[in-house]
Amino acid sequence: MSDNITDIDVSSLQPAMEEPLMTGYEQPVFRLEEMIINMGPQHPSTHGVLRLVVHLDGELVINVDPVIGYLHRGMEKLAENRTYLQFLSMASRLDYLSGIFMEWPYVMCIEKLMEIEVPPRAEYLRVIVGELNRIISHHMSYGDFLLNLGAGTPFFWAFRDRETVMDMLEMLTGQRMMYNYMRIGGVRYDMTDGFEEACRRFIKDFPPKIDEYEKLVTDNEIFLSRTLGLGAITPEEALDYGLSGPNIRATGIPWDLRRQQHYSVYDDFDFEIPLGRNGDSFDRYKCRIEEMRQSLRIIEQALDGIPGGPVNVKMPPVLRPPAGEVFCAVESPRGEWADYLVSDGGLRPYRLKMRDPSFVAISALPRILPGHKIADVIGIGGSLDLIMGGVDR
Amino acid sequence: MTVVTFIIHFVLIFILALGIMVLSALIFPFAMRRIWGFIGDRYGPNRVGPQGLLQPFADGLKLFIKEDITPSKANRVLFAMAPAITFITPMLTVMVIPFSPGFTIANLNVGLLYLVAVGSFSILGLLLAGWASHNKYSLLGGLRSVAQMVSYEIPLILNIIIIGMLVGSLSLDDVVGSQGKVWYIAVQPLAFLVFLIAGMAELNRTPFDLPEAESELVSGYMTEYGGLRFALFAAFIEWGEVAVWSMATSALFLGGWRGPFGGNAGWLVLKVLVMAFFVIWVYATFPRLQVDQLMAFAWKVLIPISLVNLGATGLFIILMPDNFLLPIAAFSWVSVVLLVALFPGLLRKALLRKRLRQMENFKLETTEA
Amino acid sequence: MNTESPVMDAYEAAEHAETLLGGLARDVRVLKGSVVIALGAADLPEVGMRLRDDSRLSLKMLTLVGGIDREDTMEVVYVLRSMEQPVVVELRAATGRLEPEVPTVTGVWGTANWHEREAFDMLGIRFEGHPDLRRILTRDDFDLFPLRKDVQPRRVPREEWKFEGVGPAVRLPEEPDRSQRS
Repeated sequence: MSDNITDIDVSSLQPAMEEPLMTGYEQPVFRLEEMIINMGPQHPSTHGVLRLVVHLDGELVINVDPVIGYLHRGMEKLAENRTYLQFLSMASRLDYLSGIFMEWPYVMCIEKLMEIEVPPRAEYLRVIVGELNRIISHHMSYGDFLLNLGAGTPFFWAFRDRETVMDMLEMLTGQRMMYNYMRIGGVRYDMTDGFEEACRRFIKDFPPKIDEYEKLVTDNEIFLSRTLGLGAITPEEALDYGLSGPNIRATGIPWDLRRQQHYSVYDDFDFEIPLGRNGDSFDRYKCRIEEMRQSLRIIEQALDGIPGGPVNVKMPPVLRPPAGEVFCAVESPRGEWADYLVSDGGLRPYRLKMRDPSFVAISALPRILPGHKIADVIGIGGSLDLIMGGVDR
Repeated sequence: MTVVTFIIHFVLIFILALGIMVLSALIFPFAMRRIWGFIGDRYGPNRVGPQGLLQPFADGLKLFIKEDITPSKANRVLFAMAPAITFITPMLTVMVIPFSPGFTIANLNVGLLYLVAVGSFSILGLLLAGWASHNKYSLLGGLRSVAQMVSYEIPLILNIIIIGMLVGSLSLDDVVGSQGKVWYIAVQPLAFLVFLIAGMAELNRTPFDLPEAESELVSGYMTEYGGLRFALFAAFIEWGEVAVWSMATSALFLGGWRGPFGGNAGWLVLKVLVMAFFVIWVYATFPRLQVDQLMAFAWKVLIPISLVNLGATGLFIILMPDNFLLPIAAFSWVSVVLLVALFPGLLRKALLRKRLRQMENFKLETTEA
Repeated sequence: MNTESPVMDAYEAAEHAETLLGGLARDVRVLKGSVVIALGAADLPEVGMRLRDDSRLSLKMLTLVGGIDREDTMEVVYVLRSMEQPVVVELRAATGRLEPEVPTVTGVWGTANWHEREAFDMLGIRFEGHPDLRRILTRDDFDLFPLRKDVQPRRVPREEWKFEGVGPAVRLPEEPDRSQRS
């Protein structure tokens, strides 16, 4: 037997070995074909009608091309064909989870153009209703995000508490989602009977519930493993992509228009801006949870300090703002919602350009997603809190 | 045995196995919705019949009158076969379960082996369903379920071997018979824990329900199924497997039909219900793992733990052949306490480090290309 | 925030920008609280680069890019936000209406990519050097730039509703000028 072994001339194999026998190991074998998956527009969890053309290498995302516009209603064109007041009722249909923040910059623009002084009581009411709206928007974001990660119960808990706030908003504005509450020069209604008690009760009852939300998920190992370090974006990139709201604050940049821009009466209130460190899904989630607590603080201070007086100023029946261009922005739950209004002195807006924070967040997806697993596409999308109603306009 | 008695036996056994499947399909999905409703602070289905008890029948009727659709590009034969193959698996597994003293349909002396061998048969059905549907989501779901079930089979088997070593027999009857003094959950809590986790993964239940993760893969391998075939997958197979797996777990670790006031099948039913409740409870509480974490968890955590446990158990049996239960129990309990205390912290630290490294590597890759 | 440079108000920021930009800015003034800088379309990337990298203004965030159809010219507006100062800076540049074309600023602010795609989609402004100038909100084969002033919505009588193929509810009032199309 040993003779047989020595008979083989090992050196004769050398030339053959030099040939790249298994070139597959040079170029990874499994990258022969990339798989393209269309996530959406009809997908259970793309937050409406976002379509992501995902290029996959196995389960690894190598490229993403977001396709938007499935909900395009031509809102900017509609605004040009309606009077200033007529469009006001359509504004809250844009981002349907935080309607107040669509109406707010719009009325601010017109007030700035016409140089109207808003009564302080109206400003306080705007802040109250805005912060309540921020809370229910974050509710939805919390529930939806966890649903995307596969946990159903947080969604129902969030909806249970969201209902309380929606009832309060209904007491104040008469509507649960499409408020149409802002008026040029003030707000539509003063506080109704019982609203303040309901509000104070909510401020007392809600913090334990936020703790409950956190107890359910924040320290859960699976939740941590699905969020920590995932979807991370650096502060420089976040600025470059123009992210705003919790998405940029999660990277550690203290960018909150309520502080930076000093609009409305936010300077009267004492509140903190939660900041993240890593800019990942977990920090974004945590920022939103903390913002709910801060919103409660603002509402409490606003209720304590609300002055008396009218909630509206007398406006002419036909509105003709002077010609000019004006830019106004507010800090919506998703980031900076800005309106750029051009008036030619006529009955209708000459041009209304709106800036939606979710639009910007989606434009950053091709930067954030590659390198993650396909399961994380949905998770990270949820953590960015995308609402297509505002994106597609 | 004459042909007639054979046929009678066959029919009776078939009815029993089918009955278990049908009962679990009627009880568990409804129970899941009500319990999940309770946990989520809402009602759940409570309109059809008293407390919504007739809901499963309404659902069944609805699914029954649905059109049976086969996608045009699907492989028709395999598409139709897949649910059938998967459906048979839990029915076959029931055969070796001891129901009450002296009543086991087939008292095989290799019962544990049979349990594992036949139990893994359902993988084939899921893969076929995923492949035959001609749908990318189905395919991904099918592949995921195969990868997941094959990986988690290993810790499952390792822990079944541990029980086999404790008993000294592979017959399930003997396993239950030897738990007269103490249930094996008290002797081997570590094995029970690993078996529980691996079993949940084997059943594709949350937090391991990746194959049918609705938020990313729509419905995984059953995306293209509708009507009765969907009912087969979503109610009968999933929950029938839960029932059978609960029975197996009870037999292995919880004393099977044993209980106070004389053992009978009632105790087994009770244990199955408790296990099913546990599955539902976990479903309502946890988010879903991610596919790479899932595989890593099987290969890097569960299998090493099982191997160490297996080695230690064997060592104790060799060293103290007369009285090995006590030292094994001591070892097992200490390890469980240590694992539960230390594991989360270690995991969390390792996680962030690994993530950041991964992302850096990927960035380098893309910039070069 | 930044201890070296005190907080500027809009007028100081306007002065600062004027000295910074020199001849590039045609007109700098403060309108409705924001610093408005009028400039030639060709200078946009250069101006953007200078404003972004200036340590005092530090206009690192591009908030929106809007196009305005002025009937005789097409105007492009860039709204910038400062990381250091509580000011809003608007860059305005005019370009021809029939063949609107401005250089892209995607090299300066990454977010301009999608904002410019939207401006192209809505008004047909071509951004020279844009990496990926496609339709974004409307469908790819849409043949109008809907926010142009000559595109007017028209009520389509029920008898004319078409459900096969594409039945647009929007028509140009006159014979469409094919040269404007992309």
